[in-house]
Amino acid sequence: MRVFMILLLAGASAFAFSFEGYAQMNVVSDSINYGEGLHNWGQGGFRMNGGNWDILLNADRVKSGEGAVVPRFYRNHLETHLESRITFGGFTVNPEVQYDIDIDSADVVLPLSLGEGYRNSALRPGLSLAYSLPGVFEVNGTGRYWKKDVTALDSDVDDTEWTEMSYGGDVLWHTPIGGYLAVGGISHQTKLDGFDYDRNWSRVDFSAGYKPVNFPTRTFVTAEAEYSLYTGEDYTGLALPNRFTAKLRAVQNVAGNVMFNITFSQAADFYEDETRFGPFQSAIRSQYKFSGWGNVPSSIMIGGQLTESAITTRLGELEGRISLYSGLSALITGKLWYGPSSVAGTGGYRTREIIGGGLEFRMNNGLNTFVIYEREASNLAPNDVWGKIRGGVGFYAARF
Amino acid sequence: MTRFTRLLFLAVFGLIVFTACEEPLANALLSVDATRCVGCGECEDVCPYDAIEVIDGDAVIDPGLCHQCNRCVEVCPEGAIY
Repeated sequence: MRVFMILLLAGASAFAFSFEGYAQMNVVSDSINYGEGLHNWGQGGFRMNGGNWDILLNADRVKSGEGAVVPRFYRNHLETHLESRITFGGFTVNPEVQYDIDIDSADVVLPLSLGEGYRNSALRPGLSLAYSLPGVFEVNGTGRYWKKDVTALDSDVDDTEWTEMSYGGDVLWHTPIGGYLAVGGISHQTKLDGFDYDRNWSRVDFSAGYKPVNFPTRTFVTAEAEYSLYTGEDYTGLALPNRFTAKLRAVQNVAGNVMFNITFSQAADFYEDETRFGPFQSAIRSQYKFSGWGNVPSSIMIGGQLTESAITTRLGELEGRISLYSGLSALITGKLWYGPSSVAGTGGYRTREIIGGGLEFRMNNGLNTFVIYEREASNLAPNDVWGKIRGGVGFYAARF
Repeated sequence: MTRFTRLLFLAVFGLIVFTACEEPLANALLSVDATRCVGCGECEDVCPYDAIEVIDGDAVIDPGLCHQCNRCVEVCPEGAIY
């Protein structure tokens, strides 16, 4: 009897698990055109955890209208992602499958100017295998397959089945002096049945990183370098260039509640007969955390970023949450942005100035609601200034 | 090799690379900063070429399909694509 009870308890514990569910619904509308500007999306799912295994299900529904002045793109789709993870020893097995249903979406441009199509659905199964010896080395391998069901808009053109296959892996070694060395690679194939389109590209990455440990207290610096060796062609038929990227990241904590994060990155592209600058990025973010007057942690973030590649972007941003009372917080947002524009008549670039404020309320039972109003100005005509309101409600169930 | 020699070597190497490089081509590959990307999927939604997808929480651009139309750059709320 005792043995039976032990077996029963062992069996019950093997199937014991925790469960977390969540749901979120957001709506956005703007004053340019209330009907066309409406954008809403809902997200829901759950996570089951049984100690050495996880099952995650996430469903994401997006429906958005399109506008004539600002870039809004008509979308209406449901994306479902089911993922599981099993660990034993240092091994992890991670099978997953994603299924997208395009209910009524914008057209997709087929490769090599083969026309336009309407994507009905897409299925993407995948499998990842990993082994990790913490602090010493990690090995990862991943394979994915895409099957996209595309209907040609031109009735004289046959429908096509768009398939893609990708597999790759990497090995990472944590060196004893505080850095890492890694080698990885990926091979990707795209085929369009009926169009005789079959293209491959692949990439091999060699990367190294170093994080010195002898800096002053609360200073963290990471330097990384990566060389990516490409084979294959881009959409113009030009051979993909090899790319060298150097990155530097520094984080400085001041008195525990003020943090500065500085990043710098520069790439160089090596074509067959010439070397050109690749993307450059330089950014700084500072965050101040404080307790506020309610139960929710407060923070204010101010940042700026400059990027240069074939296009230029400049960004200045301000985000804040200030706890007012119990679960009630004030939200503030501001953004100055300069970058590429897909709007006709803007000369390829435009600026945006966004400033807004709102309220958020978090309840102890996991319910979270927010509403925020933003005023946006851009160098467009005729709607160079407009208002936008965003609101949402979310529910995050406690573990049981 | 002293620390000064190493720094000098790095500076000379950097100067050579800097002067050897020309401006980027108009169809240069875009880059995604994984530390800024929050996986919101806005870029995936606006790409007319089906060349971008959020995988494991990060936007991944297919270099064979991307047409450098820069719509993803325009809509990314985090400035993570450039």
